[in-house]
Amino acid sequence: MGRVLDRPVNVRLEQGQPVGFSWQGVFYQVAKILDCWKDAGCWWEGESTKLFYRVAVSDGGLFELYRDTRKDTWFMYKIYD
Amino acid sequence: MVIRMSFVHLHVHSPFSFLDGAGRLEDLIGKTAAAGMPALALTDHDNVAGAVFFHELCLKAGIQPIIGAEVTLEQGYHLILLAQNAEGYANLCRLLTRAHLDHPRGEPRTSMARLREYRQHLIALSGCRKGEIPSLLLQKQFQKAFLKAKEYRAIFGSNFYLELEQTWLPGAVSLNRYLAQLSEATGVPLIVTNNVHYTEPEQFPVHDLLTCVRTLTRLTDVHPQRPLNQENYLKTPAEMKALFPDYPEAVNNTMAVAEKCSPVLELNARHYPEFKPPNGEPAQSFLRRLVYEGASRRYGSLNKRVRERLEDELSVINDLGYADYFLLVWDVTGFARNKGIRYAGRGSAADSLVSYCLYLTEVDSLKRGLLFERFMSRERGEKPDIDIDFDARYRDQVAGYVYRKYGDEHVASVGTYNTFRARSAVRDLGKAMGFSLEECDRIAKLFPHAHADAIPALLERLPELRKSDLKEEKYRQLFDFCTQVAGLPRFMGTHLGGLVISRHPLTAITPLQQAAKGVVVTQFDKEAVELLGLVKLDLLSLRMMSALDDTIRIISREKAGFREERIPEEDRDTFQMVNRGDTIGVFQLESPAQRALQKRLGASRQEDLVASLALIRPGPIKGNMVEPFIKRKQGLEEVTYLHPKLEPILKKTRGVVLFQEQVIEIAMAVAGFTPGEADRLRRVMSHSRSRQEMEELGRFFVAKAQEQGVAKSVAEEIFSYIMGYASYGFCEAHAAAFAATSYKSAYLACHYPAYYFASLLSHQPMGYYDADTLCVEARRRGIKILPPHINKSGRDFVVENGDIRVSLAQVKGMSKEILARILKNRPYGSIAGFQQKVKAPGHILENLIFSGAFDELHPNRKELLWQVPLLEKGLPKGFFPDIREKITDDFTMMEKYMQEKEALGIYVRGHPMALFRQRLQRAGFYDSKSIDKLPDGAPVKAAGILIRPHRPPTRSGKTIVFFSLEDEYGLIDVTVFEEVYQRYGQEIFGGGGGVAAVTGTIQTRGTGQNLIAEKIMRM
Repeated sequence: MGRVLDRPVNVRLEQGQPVGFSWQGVFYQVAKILDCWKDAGCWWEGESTKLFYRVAVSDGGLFELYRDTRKDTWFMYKIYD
Repeated sequence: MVIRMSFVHLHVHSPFSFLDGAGRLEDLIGKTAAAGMPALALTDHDNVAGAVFFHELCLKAGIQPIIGAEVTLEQGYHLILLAQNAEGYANLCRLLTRAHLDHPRGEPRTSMARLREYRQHLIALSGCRKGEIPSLLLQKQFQKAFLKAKEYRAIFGSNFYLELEQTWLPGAVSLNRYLAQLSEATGVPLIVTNNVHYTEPEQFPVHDLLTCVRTLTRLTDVHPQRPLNQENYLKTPAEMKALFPDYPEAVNNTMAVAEKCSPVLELNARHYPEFKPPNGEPAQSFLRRLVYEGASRRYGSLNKRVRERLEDELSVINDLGYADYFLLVWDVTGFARNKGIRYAGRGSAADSLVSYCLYLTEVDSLKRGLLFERFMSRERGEKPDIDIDFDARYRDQVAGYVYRKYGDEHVASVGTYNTFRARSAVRDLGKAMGFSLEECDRIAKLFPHAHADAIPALLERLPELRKSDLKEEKYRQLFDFCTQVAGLPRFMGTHLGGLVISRHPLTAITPLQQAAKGVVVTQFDKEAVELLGLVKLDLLSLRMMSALDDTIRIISREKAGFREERIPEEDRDTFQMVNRGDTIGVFQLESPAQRALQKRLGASRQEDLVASLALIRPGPIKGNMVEPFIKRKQGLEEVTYLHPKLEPILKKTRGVVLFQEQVIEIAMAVAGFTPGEADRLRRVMSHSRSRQEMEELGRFFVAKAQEQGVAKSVAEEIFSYIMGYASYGFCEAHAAAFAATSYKSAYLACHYPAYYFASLLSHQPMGYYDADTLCVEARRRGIKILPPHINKSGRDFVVENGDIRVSLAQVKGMSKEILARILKNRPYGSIAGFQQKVKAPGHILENLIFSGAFDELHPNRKELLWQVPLLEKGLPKGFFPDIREKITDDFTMMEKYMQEKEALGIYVRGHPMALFRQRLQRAGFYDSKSIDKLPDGAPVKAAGILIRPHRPPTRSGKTIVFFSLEDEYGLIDVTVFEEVYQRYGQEIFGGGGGVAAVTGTIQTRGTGQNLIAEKIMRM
């Protein structure tokens, strides 16, 4: 099960790809990018395309992050329990 | 390993995927060529409808067309098939035909057995995520995927590929990894595609909207078929390679597949049908024999002129190989004649004396001086196009004969593509964007019938739109999208009358599929089937034929001495009626413009009707031909010619250009155009109507005319006439064919009006006016309209003591079954007795009551209506013994008027304007009867139901609106000029029907009057 959060998050990038992020005061190292996709969202409401990453972190946790491609800002979308 | 530098898109949907493709063919091909890609495939869903245009455009752009389709397999999986060559294309057509015809309409399915049967020369790609193998891999059913890959490999051999896509969907990375592993395990090569649905990423919203239209959802709804992102565009080779750095060979394989394919369509081939004359006689000699037999019947003895003309025509027909085609049409019309089915040939076929002698047309082309070369010529070598109008009731019977004679494999109806226009785009896209159905309908109806991309211009130009709320921001995005989908196909339909008949089985040339009502149609439209070399025969339904047939049949039965063949050619009374403009209901002569013309023209022979029909067309109107023609006919203006060369061409039309053929002749005589160049001119005029192309032709015309010794200024002026005409006009042969029907219908309307109007009313809808206006006209002629009567009315409108009795079929919602039961069980003494025998559903029972059909059985409609729920439950006879004793107030007269209109579409007991007449008179309003007596220039106020507002094209480009005010005595025709229209456009077009008051002045022209509007108000 996952919890949808959709909150801003600080992400560390290397060659445009997330390699780690800070969430609630804890830094998580990305161990593997499991999947990556784009979602145009509610374009008719002016939303921009989001670039999603599903990542496994080094302690075994599973997260979904996305980058708002217009604002170039990162969000924590979902945490898998 | 050789790494090629380019890439070919092999999985591409165009708008012919019907609401699943937003990239126009021109744009897809243009971008492909610009990006240096050497080829492009077209793979629409279960069809190749775009293939012919795609093929032409690709060759023009210098790239290789690859024709294919994305077929839907039996379990709903997708598979891409590409035709390697002509044989592969024929197999694809057969496969698609079976997919459509062996399954319910709209659910084409291809079985593995069919794939095996038709696999030859087809290349298969495993498809998108909806492909069978990708689906299994996404479900991690690796073993099954492995077996399937082997199965496809067994069918297609080295022509099977596993398709890699990177369109940034969840799971794509894993899926591609699995596909690569499967490739390694099976040896099936990989290939890269992008599942293209539009040309540029900016078109994604339109594609998404079209998906909503297709899936009947709104933007805010979730649906599995909605695209997730804007990655399905036509990417450049560099973009595609960047997506697949680890699979260079899969990228490279797209080029290899393109190299395996060659263009598959042979345009302008000949698949003309074969006619087998009896006793093995050769077609050409059989045709000659029939033509001469027919000529003897038509003319008696044959003079030299007839013989020479027939020989000339037969020689062209035989040289071009169309003897079989003429025999085929002769055979079809012969079937109709034998069955007593009324028909008449129309169009340019009437230029041919052979057609006349074969009884395909009733126009004597020799007598009329019509040139056969306008219909067929060796130089042009174009396919003859013979159009025949049949009595609408029996057209399908005639088509059935063609199917039986030539076999289902060789005959099909021609398909059409219904495309997005202003109204349909507003309705479909508006609904998908979340506007309510009522709002979509309201907005759509505000627009005239126009192209969807004309919406922005219409919003600026039309006052009724300028003054509406349509400029609000919330509509801006809707109209922007409407513009973007302009002209894109929405769905496949059936051409009105076109049949293709082929010598070879059609399924090797075009896929066939089912359209509405079980009709089997080609996946190509009429232009495409002709380019493919198929010959089309138009068997058209004409309701006027049915009305004429009924009128003549009934009069022949009831009026001793009447014989159709004895109708005089130039009956004085008929022409007097025409000259008064009393032509409402007369074929092609009833519009306000035609009636106004007749009041001025003074027609006295059928030839004048031919000119009339040709005059009131956009071409002659925009070319300003109407006024000079009338003045010259009346001797008020001298007949002059800009150049002596024009005299022989324009003499019979008094120096003005009326007919399409005259434009062609002018081009040839004045500028020395070759037949091919003149034909191009005709095509530009009648098809593309592009200003740029016309201007190019104009420069060419002037230059060539100067070479022929014509002064530049004269040549320019002559071409300005052609430019003015550059819109839709009739060819003379067609006008002549229609005029014969117009005259016959005018004669019947003049001498047998009750029978004629009864038949017209039985065969509605047709013509310019609806049933209600026809009833107003019948009443104006002194004929009463009698309400439907449950014991007297029939299936059709009938004449009863000189009046017209409304039919029961006219009752809204009436079904064939219920009508048959009503007629079978008559007479009825009560509504309860009626219902016991007929068991009519509640809505029909209600409409029968509202229409007045039970009035003579029970005078109180309201009381009857109260019984409907109980009657519908089938309560026993005698359940309402006291029904007549109940005292209930009936509906008011006005309520009955409106209910009758609602139930029948006709104001039966009289026109509602009569109810207001006294008050209107007191307020100074004229009616249509009294207005006739007013002098030219008289100021006037009139009121009536506003009907048929329209804006025909004008030479100046300014808007002139015509509409009529209908009252109890007839019609008042109103003309609204630009300035008044700009002020009152909203009153004319903004509010649907209803009563309007017009203030203005009377204009008298000839014997007719027109109200020139100054002020218009809704009442």
